[in-house]
Amino acid sequence: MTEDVQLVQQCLSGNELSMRAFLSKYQGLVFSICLRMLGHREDAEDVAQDALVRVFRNLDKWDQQRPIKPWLLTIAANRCRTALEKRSKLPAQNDLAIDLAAERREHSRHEQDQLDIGEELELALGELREDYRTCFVMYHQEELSYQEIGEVLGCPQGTIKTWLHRARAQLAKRLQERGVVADPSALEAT
Amino acid sequence: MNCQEVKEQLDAALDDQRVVSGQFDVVRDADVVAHAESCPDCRVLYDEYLLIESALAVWVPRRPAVDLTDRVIEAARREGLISSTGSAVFGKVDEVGKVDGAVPRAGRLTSGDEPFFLAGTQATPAAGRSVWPTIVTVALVLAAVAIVFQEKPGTIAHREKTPQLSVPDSPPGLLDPRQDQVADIGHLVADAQSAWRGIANRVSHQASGFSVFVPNFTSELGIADVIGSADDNSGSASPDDDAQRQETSQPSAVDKAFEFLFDKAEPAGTLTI
Repeated sequence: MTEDVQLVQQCLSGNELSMRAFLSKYQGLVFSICLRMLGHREDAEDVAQDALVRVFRNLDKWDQQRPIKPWLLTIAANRCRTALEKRSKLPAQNDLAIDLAAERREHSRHEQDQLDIGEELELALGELREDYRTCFVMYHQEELSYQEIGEVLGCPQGTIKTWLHRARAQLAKRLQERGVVADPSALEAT
Repeated sequence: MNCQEVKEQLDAALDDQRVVSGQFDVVRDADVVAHAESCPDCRVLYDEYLLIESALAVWVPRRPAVDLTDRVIEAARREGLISSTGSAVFGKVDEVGKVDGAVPRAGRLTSGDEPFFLAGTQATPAAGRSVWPTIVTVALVLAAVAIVFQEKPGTIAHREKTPQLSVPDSPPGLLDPRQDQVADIGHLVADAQSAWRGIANRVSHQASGFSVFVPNFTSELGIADVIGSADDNSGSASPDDDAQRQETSQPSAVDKAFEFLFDKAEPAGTLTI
């Protein structure tokens, strides 16, 4: 019996401590994907809370033979899409991008230096289309497979591959537009 | 190597990159590099690949700190997803688990919530407090009753605990054989009387619905005294006195018994035997 299965079974018995442990383990994942998709922290908190309550409500429906991560992300993504449909307009700028921009100004003021290429990638991510961004994050950050992302987002694998390829291409162009160049030392280090 | 093969190889290399687990597979194939040097379109693709590759290599994905625990637990409690007894509540959300008086308030527990205390790794709601005093009280009462009955004379526990007085067996030489005979005959008469009364009562009751009164001639004839004295004197009385007493009492008791049975049985009640 895996650790997740044991934890879920304790949650199913209504054990509050186990539910808190479950939240401690997975709320960051759910909130992260909500923030990536919605681009607004307060909205992301509300939707993540809603998603996590739905997780507890439907915990008995999780197939314990399969990993729980894609199942959690599916619920979170569905709630985010519902929230996006209700939203009359998308936020003009991503919260993460705002934070990074502020950091960049602060950093430039003191260090007069260039942002790290990883931070530039984070900034560029915030400017991507929502589905491209979600697809990129699920693949490279959460390390889901094409099939799992397809199940989470309700799309064929071919669509996921296309979105991921376009996401990379757009990120590269945005990085180039910012004057970011490939750092050979980073590749050598790996 | 053509452009399509270069494109597929670059995509496959990026597919293999996983940031968290740190897997990177940089394309250093000489054919790819040579083709990119000679093909402007593939050169663009190769540059983009190198840029993304190096960005992913140093990218630390942001996972913003957040603590929704209390908010989610509160919402789950309102929906009855947290059991008050530790048993499964899923599927009965609408019927059970409602917290009376709980005012939804994000971020912290409300004053109307039940406090929890911990028992090992399990959380037991305060409702359990109303059960434990009862269990402890019952246990104390049972323990007190057990102690009282343990000490009360006549109980099994008391008999088991009470040391039995040991009566030494009488030396065979000190006991007059006639005393044994008297005692045996007396017991025999008493047993016969008891059996007789039982049989008479049962037969008459089954035959006519009447019960028969048969006098207890054992006491009437003084047989009980004979038996008692024989029992009492066995092994402890003076041999001379006992012998004299039993010599006079034994024949008369037996004679009286049989005389009573066959000649002096008087009717009692409504049926005479």
